[in-house]
Amino acid sequence: MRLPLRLRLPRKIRRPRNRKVAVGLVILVVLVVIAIIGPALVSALLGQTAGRLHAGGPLEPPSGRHWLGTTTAGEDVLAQLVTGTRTSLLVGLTGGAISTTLAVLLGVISGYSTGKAGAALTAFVNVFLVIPGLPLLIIIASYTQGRGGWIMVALIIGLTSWPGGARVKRAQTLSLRNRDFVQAARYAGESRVRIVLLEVAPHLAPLIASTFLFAVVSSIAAEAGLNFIGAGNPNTVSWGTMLFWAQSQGALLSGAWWWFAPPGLCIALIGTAAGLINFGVDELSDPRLRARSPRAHRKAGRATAAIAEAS
Amino acid sequence: MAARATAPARTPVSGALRALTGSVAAKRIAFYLVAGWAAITLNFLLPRLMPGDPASAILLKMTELGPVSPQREAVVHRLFGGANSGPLWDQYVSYLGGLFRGDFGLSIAFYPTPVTDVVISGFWWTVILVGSATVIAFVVGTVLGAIAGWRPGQRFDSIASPLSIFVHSVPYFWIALILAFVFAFQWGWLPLAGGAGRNVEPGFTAAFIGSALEHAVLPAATIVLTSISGWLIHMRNMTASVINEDYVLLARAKGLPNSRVISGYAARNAILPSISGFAVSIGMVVGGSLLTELVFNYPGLGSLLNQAILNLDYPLMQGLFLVISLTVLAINFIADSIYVLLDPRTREVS
Amino acid sequence: MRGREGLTVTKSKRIASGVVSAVLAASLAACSGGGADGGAGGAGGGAPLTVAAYSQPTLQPNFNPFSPNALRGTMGLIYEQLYDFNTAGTFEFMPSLATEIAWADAGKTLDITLDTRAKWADGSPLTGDDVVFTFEYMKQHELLALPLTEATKTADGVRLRFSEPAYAIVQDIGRTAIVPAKIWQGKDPDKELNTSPVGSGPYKLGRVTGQQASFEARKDYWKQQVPVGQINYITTSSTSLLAQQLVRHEVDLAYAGIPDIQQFVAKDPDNNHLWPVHASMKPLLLNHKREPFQDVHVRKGFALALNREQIANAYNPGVYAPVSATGLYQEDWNDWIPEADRAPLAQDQQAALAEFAKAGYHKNGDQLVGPDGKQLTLGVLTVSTFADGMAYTQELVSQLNQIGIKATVEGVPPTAYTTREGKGDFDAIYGDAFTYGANPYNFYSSMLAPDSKHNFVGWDDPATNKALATLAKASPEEQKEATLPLEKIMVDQVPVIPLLVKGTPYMYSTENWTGWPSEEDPYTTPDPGAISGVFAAKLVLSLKPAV
Repeated sequence: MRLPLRLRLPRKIRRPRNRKVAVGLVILVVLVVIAIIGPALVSALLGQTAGRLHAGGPLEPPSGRHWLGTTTAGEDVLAQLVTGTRTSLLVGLTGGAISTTLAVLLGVISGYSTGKAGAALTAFVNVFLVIPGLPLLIIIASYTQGRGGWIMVALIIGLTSWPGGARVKRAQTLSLRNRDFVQAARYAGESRVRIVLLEVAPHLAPLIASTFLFAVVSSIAAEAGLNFIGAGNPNTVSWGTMLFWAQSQGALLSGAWWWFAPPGLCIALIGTAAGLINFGVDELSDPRLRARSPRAHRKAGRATAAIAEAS
Repeated sequence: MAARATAPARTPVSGALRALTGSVAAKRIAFYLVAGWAAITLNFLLPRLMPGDPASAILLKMTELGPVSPQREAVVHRLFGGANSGPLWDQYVSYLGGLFRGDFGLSIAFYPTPVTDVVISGFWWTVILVGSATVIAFVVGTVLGAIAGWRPGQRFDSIASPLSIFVHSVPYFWIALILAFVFAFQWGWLPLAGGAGRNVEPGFTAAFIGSALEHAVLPAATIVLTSISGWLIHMRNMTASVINEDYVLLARAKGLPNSRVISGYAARNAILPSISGFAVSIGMVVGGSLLTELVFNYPGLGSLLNQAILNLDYPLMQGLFLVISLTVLAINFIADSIYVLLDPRTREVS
Repeated sequence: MRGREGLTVTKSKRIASGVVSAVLAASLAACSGGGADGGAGGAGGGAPLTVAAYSQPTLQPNFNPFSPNALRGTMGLIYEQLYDFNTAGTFEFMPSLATEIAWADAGKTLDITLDTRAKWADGSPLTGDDVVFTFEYMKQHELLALPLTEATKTADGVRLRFSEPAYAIVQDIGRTAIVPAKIWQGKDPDKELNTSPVGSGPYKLGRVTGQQASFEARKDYWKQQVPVGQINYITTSSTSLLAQQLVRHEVDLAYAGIPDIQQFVAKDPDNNHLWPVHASMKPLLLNHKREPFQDVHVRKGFALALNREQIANAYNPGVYAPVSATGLYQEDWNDWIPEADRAPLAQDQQAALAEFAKAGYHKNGDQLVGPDGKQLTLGVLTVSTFADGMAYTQELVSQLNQIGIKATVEGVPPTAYTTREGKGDFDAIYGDAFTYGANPYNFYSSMLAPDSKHNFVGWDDPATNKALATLAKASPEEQKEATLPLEKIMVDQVPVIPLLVKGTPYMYSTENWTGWPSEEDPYTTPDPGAISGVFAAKLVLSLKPAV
């Protein structure tokens, strides 16, 4: 069982105690920095922007002028990639935030409340859990018909991707509800809202953080999937639309790896970062996951962090 | 008490609530009935949310083939009026009635083929592909996870775990495209696309099964590669936790070989939560296989769903959604039951 | 050269029969030399001919010639139509079940001479009774869109009578698929799947799986020996998959806009061939129901702002080509177009701005703003799943951006596309193609007639309607003259903006089969039966095994 772990951010930033967390955080930070300053930087240094056709010849391999080559329409792949990083991260963060909010609300309420409302909510969550998500996403996306830009895409993804997270939150809330400190608060006559907000929610914080991280990643992947089948918004430049264009213009067949590979790798990279952070946080919260042998770990005592770093 | 007061109400929800007082098994079954009913109703509503008019789409297609008479237009509107004809409640009643007779109506994309025939034509392809790929991923991931968790932090763990996370994060279709390009297009080791060879008669023959297996390798590999990580990480963490338990330490102290300790002592308890996770993940795998099927031109439910959406084929969409949701529901039910059988504790809990 | 199809029948019949006898000789030679390894029970031999006939992953058996979902091959391979005109060549008459047609009564009567050799697959003769039955059957089930009043049997065929001159729809009449009366009596065309079809064509149905339909050559085909023993029509879910299949020689014929098409030829120039057939025109459609597109100056401004050559090169250079302002392709319809209008419009941004100025739009910085001070804005609707269409639209939009119009690509899935088209919910469309026929009547009427399903722009103009009515009734000799007013309307009023002639890129491999139609010998359109069964049958009966 994962114990509640308080995120003491200042200490973490000073020195991530786990190599996996460190690597994951570095990847995340780099991608965020690229998203923020990348487009301006590429435009200033190389004079390339994402939307410009015929910036170079069709399908030029990487060169000093086009670091990641060009597309069939002569667009600069690097400029698209950095702009795409911004869009994809925005889609991921927005979709992830909506999805996590819904997951927490529905999960905690269905887990905490007893009686009819709780049972009905539980059934609701479970039904959505068996409805296949991607087809649902496609149907709703076809309703918007590509209107509304990336915000719309993020919204749809957020609204359809919460059930998994809600289930986890519900299970956790169920177990917290019967803990001593929650029971005590209840006997003390505190209101339900107060208990949920002040007693239950803080203990869910690490879980919520990890759900959010994965919701961000799966939103980015969902956006790519939507674009791949032509149900996205092709006007935006994101990792997903880049893959859509690369695939539909036969980049792989023409040997244009510089066009096909980077967006896919970026999606994989951010997913890996989230996976590593989550993995490392699990290890930090539960020393057994990283100790080599029980005796070594018991003796190590306060030095667990050192072992984790050495491993 | 509250449940008693609402006893006369006939809604399935209150029925489920009454079942709360019954045995655990009855409760579970009641839940699955409620979930099934809700899924059926949602399937009824979803396609009706889709914009568009199948009749006009068909007329446009027909006018591209040749001129269409005004009378014909009227006929097409009558036949393909789509989901928006008549009051919603009447449609719902006739939808439920059709369900009980196993009649989903006629497909629009393949008119006048019945939806049931279309769904059956794709069902086994997907069930066998997704089913076997998921089982392979589960077995391989669990075994690798147990090995990694046995010595956390050692070489195997420090390579396999991060690597599996990376592969897991790669988009389904991206990995599918690369596999097809390398193994089928460049090297020609495996077929590019399709469910079976062109000149093989479908049936229970060695030739057909062999050909189908050959065609399933790449799509299955895509699903396995991208879903193995979940099992691996999960099993690794579970194993790493239980190897410190007393009974495992005892087994090791007795001098049993590592493989016996893993399979007989550690894995047995570590695997339990994986089984309940299995059920949840099958829904995600079905969704992901939709894209995989498209890349490999595989004749399964994913390809059919794509065609249904492209052709605004509401009846087919409904049929497919229902079959997918009910299959996932059934698998959940089976996994739940297995869990109860494997873990005696759950029988008394709640 | 064109448009005299009604009169050149005898001459082209001679040509056609010459081709037939040459094919006969060739196929006989093929049979004596070739094994029958692929053609299980078929008449011909050689490897199966594999055609990428479907751009969808799966199919369901349906061989009902009256169903919009009939599988390819239903027309041409199994059922035969009366006749057609070679739209890929010089529009010569192509006989099928009919050997000859003759107009009488100022276009209100058509006499069709049937080939007396024609037989159904069960051995019984195909007679005028079957043809009369088919027309009556279609009329009874409201399937007939021709102004037919009566069909009667004559000594050597049938006579069709129409309520008005039917010159313009001669091609539609010829594309009627004839079914055997004794089988179709009492069948409901809306419910029938017809999974064991009995037709008169060169093939019988082989195996149908979820992903392909096979056809086997009939040994006893009435017209000639069938050279290709087995034909497989297969499904391919995406163009990039198709491209891989083509390069790997897994298909012999395909006709979809695959990416990087020239590379397919370059991979194996001896065997891989590309022949773009120019049979339709793709215009930019502006919605006249929305501001400011009903203003002719705005439309002219758009027409002048675009560089057609560059748009054509945005995807697979050499397949699409710029088209004249009349909409007719100047290479094929040269003598129909007044000389001044033949050349496609060249991009001229100054002239475009001058036209926009007449409508009150001026350049303000790098924006083209209207009298209300707002930038001219439009979304160009196109189908997001068509790689080629998306690339052309992207290029078109970037050119509009250059002169200060805020244009965006609105790529939507096909269903949303047709729905929004039908509802008039768009600013502009780039995606629809208008097919040229044996004469320009269908071309112009589908684009401009008020009651046409494809008149998406909402054009309703008395002069146009009058000109269309005249062209509909014009005899073949009068058609050229009767088309001129419509061409003038296209040039002066710009109801739609002609951009490119669409090239259907027929890609074929000569590895297994030769004798394909080509630029030099365009004897038919190499089509799997989506356009015309006469074209499809002509193709498969003309192939020869590669040596």
